[in-house]
Amino acid sequence: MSDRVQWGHIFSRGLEYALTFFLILAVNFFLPRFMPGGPLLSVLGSQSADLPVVIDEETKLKLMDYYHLNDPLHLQFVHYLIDAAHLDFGYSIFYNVPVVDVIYGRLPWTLLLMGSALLLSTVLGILLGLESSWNRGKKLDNLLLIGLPLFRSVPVFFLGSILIFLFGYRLGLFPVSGALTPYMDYQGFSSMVKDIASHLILPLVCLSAFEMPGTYLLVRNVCSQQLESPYVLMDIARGLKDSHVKRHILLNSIGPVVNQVAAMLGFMVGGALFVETVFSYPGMGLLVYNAFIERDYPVLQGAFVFIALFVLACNYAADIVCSYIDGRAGQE
Amino acid sequence: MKIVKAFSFLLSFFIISSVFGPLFLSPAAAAENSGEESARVLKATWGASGGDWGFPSPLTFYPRGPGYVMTSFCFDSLVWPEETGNFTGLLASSWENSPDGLTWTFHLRENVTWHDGEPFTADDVTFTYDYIQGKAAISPIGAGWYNTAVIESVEALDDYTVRITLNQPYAPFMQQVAAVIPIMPEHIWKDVSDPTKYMEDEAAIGTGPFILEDYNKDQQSYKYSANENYFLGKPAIDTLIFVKSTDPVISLKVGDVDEASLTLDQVQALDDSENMKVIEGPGYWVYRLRFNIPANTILENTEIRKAIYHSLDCEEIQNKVLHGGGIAGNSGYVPPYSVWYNPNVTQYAYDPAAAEKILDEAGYDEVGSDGIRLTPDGEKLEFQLLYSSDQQSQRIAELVQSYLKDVGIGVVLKPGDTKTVDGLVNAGNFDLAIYSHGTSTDPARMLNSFPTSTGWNNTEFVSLANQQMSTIDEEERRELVDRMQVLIAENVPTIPLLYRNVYSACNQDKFDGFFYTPGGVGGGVPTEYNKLVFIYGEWNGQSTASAGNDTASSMDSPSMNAPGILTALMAFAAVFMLYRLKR
Repeated sequence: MSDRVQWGHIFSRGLEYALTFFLILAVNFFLPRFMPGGPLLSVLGSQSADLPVVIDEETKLKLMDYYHLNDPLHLQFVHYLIDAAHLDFGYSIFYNVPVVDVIYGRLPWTLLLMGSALLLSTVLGILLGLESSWNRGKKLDNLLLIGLPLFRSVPVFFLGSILIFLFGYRLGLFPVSGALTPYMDYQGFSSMVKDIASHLILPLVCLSAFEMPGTYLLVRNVCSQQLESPYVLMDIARGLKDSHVKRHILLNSIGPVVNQVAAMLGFMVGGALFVETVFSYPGMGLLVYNAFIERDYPVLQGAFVFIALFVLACNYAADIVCSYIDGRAGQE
Repeated sequence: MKIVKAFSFLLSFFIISSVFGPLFLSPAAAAENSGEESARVLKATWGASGGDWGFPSPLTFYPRGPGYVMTSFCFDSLVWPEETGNFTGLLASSWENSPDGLTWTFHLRENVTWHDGEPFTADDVTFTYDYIQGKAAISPIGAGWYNTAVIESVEALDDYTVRITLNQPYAPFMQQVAAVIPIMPEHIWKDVSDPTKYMEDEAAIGTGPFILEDYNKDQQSYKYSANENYFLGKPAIDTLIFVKSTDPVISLKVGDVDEASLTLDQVQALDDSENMKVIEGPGYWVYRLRFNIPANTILENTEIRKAIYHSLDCEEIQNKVLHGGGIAGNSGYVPPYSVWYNPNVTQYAYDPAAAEKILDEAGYDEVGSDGIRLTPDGEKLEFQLLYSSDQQSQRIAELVQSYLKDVGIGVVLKPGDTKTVDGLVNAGNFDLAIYSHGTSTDPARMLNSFPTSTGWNNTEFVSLANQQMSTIDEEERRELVDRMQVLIAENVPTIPLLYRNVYSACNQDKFDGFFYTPGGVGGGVPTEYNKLVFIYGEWNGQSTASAGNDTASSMDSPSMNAPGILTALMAFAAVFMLYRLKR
């Protein structure tokens, strides 16, 4: 078995990912600083604050000093890199607590939402894709082929609003916002799970509906190509059951699907941002959204680093899995 | 064979759904059994964009109105505005000031205890004022919310008497200082050197009507329990919960929350809910047109600004944008519902002809082929209009554009997010901008910032502003403030387009008694969450029949509909099976 693991490939890919990560750190640091409207605007109140705040220059300078906003940019960057290595992303300007604390509070919810959406959309995408390609040109295929991409073309927040209106309000089936009922008296573990699950369903359906068509189309196409392969014809000739043949097809097309799923994670972060905003789901997406509105640099940077790390790690893992599944992937 | 297969599928579906079905039962069902049957719990939601207003402690909340109000539930100031807008004593039972306006003496309530049982004394008051004055520089809240610059010294005359000496007479002392600064317990804060990072449980201990049980930054929720020993009496509710809601209307309708702050559109969407009591109040929230004066040489001309004013129909803008949920702007800037409003100022009626006449006379009488006037240099008379891309500002900007086009002024719309707009305006990189913000309720805050917030520097205005701040005599002060409004109306440094009202709705079967405090709370936050509401308000009925209450509310709650999803799933499954059978 071990001869199938390509250590050289894993190492060189690892280096590439590390370099990518460094570039992300750099972009992440410099980009917000080129936008108009400094973080002090947020602290001191602005036109959007409820009271017009009048502040004198001296206080302003002290604040600038307090938040190290007076250092030259490159010095700030070096400091930033050193601290990032220690997982120290500073204090959130808006929340006034360490950024890592804010992120740790939100990360589990995003992992729950994205993880279950990834699982659901992948499983459904594979099953439907396979079924669709098997029934190429038939009614079921046409129906799915027209129906599913429709979800993808509807903006996520719009789909979310429809779900909220229909299932949250009209039918009253699910809660419409948050990740759990605040201050509910849980009667044991199961009632907590129920509560969290009922809050998860709408955002999950929304995110999955948005992500699934991609996997579906890919699986359908890859499997369709396999359908004419000699081994499939052989299988059929041998009189194997349909389900047996399908399994063969699936096993032979899984490589690109794994890659696609990993690549989708990046887009999923974007989708999650909208979904979390629409459903007030307290995950990283909502955090990033609010931090952007408030120009909370430390939180933005911290969140992006975590997300980037997460996406890169998943891609890296997918690379390794693929090189294992398909020995050719590593031989460049 | 296929029928057997289908049947077994359906059967297993039934079994599975009956096992996992309860998973979809809503939390309301579980809450019903929670044993807290007689608890008087009020759930509220405030603000769609964010339910998190920071840790409710005097130096850690987010420096916006809601943050202060969340803090005010736990902390009391010396005095507090009641329903009429007059001040009632909280920690002070009576007070007097010297004729020169420099010394204020407060007689404090005796037998007040902090949430942890420690007695409250005058030392806590002197400590708080000194502490906040000392820490103001490193805390944006201290700098922005607590006006300690006028305070010379604070001393305790005895255990229950405090004398505050000012370095100059300060007319809005009660509104801006005594009714705003939350008194903090010395025994907890005396060793805290960085209050901006102090968020332990003790940091929320005050004397207020509510005790903080929990603040959850991630779920953006607050839970307060009533302070049974509150000196004004026990609050009418036991528990006050603030949760975040994406859509307050839906949350109100399904019973997830009992009270919510709303916009007028949301109020209208509530129309068929009879148990909802809607209250309306002055918002002190203005949308105004800002000019880049003195940098823009065309707009620096007062006549041009007047022409622009004449070309705008503020009443119609209000109707089109807020659908009646506000009032048209007033040329003197102070909104008509304010006690400081001066109606006798220059008015600029909607009069496009007058606007065109002014523009002609100012030398912009040539009109290009596209209907836009030309400057004497032959360039288009055209401005960029900056605005933050929320719905209201967007509509206002479009209306302004069409009004100005009618009189031959071109407008290029430039939307951006709030912070971008703020940044561009601060950098002076704009011609026109739509601004919306709270205006406070005291002239000292409302008007004195005019020169900085409009770029209009009028020496007479500035001297009036300084004068009115230190004028103790109410009548005298009123005359000065009247004059300031006359100057604003004459010079048009900015055009107040409209003022937005605030709305909220409460399930009155549950709780009644919300009101909007004239002049706002905490120096001018227009809110229905004046903490006195919870002292004097009324818990309605449902506490006597809590069992009935539970059934009534569960009628709307998701739990009653839980079988619905099973039915729906089964129907779906049946159709699917039929489809398979046909094939």
